Amino acid sequence: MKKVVLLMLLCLASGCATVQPYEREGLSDPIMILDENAIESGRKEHHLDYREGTKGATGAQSGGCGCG
Amino acid sequence: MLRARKVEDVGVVKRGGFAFGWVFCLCGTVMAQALPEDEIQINFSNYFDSFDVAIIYPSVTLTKKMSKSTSVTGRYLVDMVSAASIKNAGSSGEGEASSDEDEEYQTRVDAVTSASGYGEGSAFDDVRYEAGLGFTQLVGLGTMSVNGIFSRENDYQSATIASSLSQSFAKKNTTIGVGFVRSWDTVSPETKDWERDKNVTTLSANVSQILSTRVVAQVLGSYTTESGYLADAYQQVTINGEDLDPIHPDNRVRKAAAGRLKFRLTEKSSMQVGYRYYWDDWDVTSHTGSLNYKRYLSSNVIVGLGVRSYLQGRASFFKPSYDQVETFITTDIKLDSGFSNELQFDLTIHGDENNLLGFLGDKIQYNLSVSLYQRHSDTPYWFNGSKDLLSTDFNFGIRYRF
Repeated sequence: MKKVVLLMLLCLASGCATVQPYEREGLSDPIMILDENAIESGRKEHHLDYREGTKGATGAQSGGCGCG
Repeated sequence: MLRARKVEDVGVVKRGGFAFGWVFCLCGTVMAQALPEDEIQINFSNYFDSFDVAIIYPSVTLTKKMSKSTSVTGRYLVDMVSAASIKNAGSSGEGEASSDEDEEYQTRVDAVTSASGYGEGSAFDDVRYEAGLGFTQLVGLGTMSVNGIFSRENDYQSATIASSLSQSFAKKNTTIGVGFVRSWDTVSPETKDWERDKNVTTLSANVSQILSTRVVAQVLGSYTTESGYLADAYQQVTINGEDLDPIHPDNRVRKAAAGRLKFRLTEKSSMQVGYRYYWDDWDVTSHTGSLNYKRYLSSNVIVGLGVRSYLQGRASFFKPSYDQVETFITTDIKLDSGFSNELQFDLTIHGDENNLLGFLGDKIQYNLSVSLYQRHSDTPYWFNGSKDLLSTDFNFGIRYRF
């Protein structure tokens, strides 16, 4: 698994051409933002956390109840 | 007597294992150097499932910049849990239901498909209150956040502190984020005369990368340690006719790695694909795949469709039945092998002075989301004999930026 993660990181680091700030208009569009509504994303993740036995690596940080 | 009934009811509700805790999503977007916008967000959410559980949980979140580089967020959430038809079945007798009553219970559960069964008796069986306060600070080309959460209900108390740091590099094409979460929980089941601690620590990291003007990628990883009481005190393991409390290990180490890729299909649409692999030292593993599509229906209406599939392996000590007491025993369905599928629908409407919903101008946004979820476990759930759970959740949110 470590090798897979390392490979993914290397791909990300090496395979990307630099995108200039003035070229990012499309990336700031709501449909292109990862977790555009953080509260809603977190709510959905937590729905899954308490119904399934595994969690993590979703970008959401949880706490506050014993249901995870 | 009244007290005994209450304890019994709460116990039944808790067997469902449901209580919503706040999750705050600090995964970086590509724009890590920006403070969150000033806004108030109000959400009305509910959840229903075929195990006869209903939850209503309104919440309000307020975010306000205190200076050019500091933003403060406060939030408040209430969980209101009802399992009235379960309670009605349980109230027909004292103590644990007999086999005949189990059949009656099962029939009632199967019959309940909507909120119509929740009209009798007390409106809610359990209520949890949660408050949180946090701040975000600009730091160079990134942000640092610290959040505190305190949660309280009749049999569970939790204090959590969460922090994250994200920083942009390579002309802001790359953003690296790290996170730390620590929870100090206390479990005090109403059906027991003891109190136990549970501590959870999570370290996480993510890297977001702009790959082109149309593609963004993100890899994420997390490492979680849990210690203390890790079982569900309201569950029971029946061995040779005797009901026993579950015994889980006192420690658990969870690891997960995931990747997401978001790309623009057309000027009006985008697609996101994701995969996560999870493994832990209880020998539970899982694979999760997801696909999400977003599209502008008009200049201020976005529709989203998503599908998610999940496959989980069984914990090393989980058994469908036990012949004798072992070092660890459990009936927790979340430790069994199985799979789940989910369909998601989202609708976002941005306010516009020209449409009916835009009376507050373009600062308002309405969010509607619905999901249909199906989970199958290889072993029947211990208290209702069902292998399949069907559920829906619904959320209506109003987001006002000021």
